[in-house]
Amino acid sequence: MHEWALAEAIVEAVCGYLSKRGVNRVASLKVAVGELQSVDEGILRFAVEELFKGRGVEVSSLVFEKEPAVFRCNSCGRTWRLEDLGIPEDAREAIHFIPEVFHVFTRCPHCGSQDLEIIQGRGVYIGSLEL
Amino acid sequence: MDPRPLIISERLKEVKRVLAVVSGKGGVGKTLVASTMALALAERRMPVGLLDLDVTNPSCHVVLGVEPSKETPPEDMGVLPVSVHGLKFMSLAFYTRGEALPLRGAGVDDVFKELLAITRWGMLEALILDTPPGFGDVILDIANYIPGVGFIAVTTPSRLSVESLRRLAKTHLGGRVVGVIVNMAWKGYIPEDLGKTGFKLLTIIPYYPDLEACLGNPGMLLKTEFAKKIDEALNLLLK
Repeated sequence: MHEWALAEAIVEAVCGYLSKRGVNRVASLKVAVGELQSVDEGILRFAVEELFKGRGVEVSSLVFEKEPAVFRCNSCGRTWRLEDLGIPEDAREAIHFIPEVFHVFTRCPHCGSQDLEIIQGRGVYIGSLEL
Repeated sequence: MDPRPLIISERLKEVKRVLAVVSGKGGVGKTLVASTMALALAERRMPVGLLDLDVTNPSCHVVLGVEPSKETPPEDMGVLPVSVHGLKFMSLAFYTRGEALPLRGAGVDDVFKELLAITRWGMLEALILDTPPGFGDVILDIANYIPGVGFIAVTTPSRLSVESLRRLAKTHLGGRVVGVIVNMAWKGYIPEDLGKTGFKLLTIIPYYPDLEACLGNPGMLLKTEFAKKIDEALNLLLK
C-alpha cells in the first residue's frame, strides 16, 4: 500500500497550496501517473479521495493521467520506450518504490550504457490544479 | 508540481534530532562513524534510525551485516525501515540488491525525495544519515528539506581533508556543523588548520588496523576502542 504514501504527498501539497489562498475547494485536479512506477491507479484514487475527505477539501474533478515512460541514453543519445527495455519481472517491485533503480536492472538497448535518463513517465506528480 | 517536498517534514515530525555525517573527501570513515553512532545510541536503549543516503554506492548494510537481497522493507501506508540490532535501518541497497546505482544529479535528487517521502520512521530520538563525500546534491537536499539537521564533519588529519573542512566552513552549510571527528589520526596528531574552521572537536580517533575484521559484526564493533571514541563524541553531542 505504498500508494497511500504517494496519496498523502499529493494531498499535503494541494492542502498547502489551498491554505495559502484561504480556500478548501478545487475545481479540477489532474495527477500525472508515470508508467515506470507502475502505481495502482485505483488504490491511489481511493486514497486521495479519502484523504481529501478527511481534510474537508472538496475536489469537483479528479483526473489521473497515465504518462508513458520515455528514456534517453546520455552516451549514444537514442531514445526509447519502457517496453523496449526488457526489465525483468522480479525487478519491477523495486522500481515501483524507487523508479531510479531501473538503472541497475537494464542498459541502453543500443549501446549498453547505464548512463540513462528518464525524459517522462517517471512517477506521480500534480499536472494541474484549478480553483 | 512535485508533491514530495511537503510530506518530508511530515515523515520526520516525530524525529527529535537528525544528524548527517558528512565530509569533504571520501575514504575518511563516514560510513563506519555513522553506523557505529547509530549502534551506540541503540545500545543506550534510545529509539534510533540509520538512513544510508550514499545513494549511488550505499554500504552501511555491510557494517551492519545485513544482506540486502534477503531483506525487504515492509509496506504499511508507505515503507517501514528494517529493524536490525535495535535500530531502524533504511538503505537504497534494499532496492538495488546491493549493486551500484550510476546516477546523475537529477536522479540523485529524485531518489532523495522519494526515500524521504515514503519512509515512515515513527518516533525516534535520533536519525543518523550517512552521506556521499563532497558537498553535492545529497548534502544540499538534506540542508533544504531537513531544516533542523546538524552536520557531523569527519576528517582524517591529512591537509587534503582538513582543507575541505575549511572550505565547508565558508559555505552556507558551515553553520550546520555541530562538531568534527578526526578519524584515523596517527599518534593522536591534530592538524593545526582544524582550529581555523571554528568547528567544535568531538573526538580524535586513532587508526585501528584491526577494525576491518569487525565489519558485518556489530556486537564485536561495539566492543572496540573505535566505538568508545564514538561514545565520547555522542556524550558531547547529547549534552
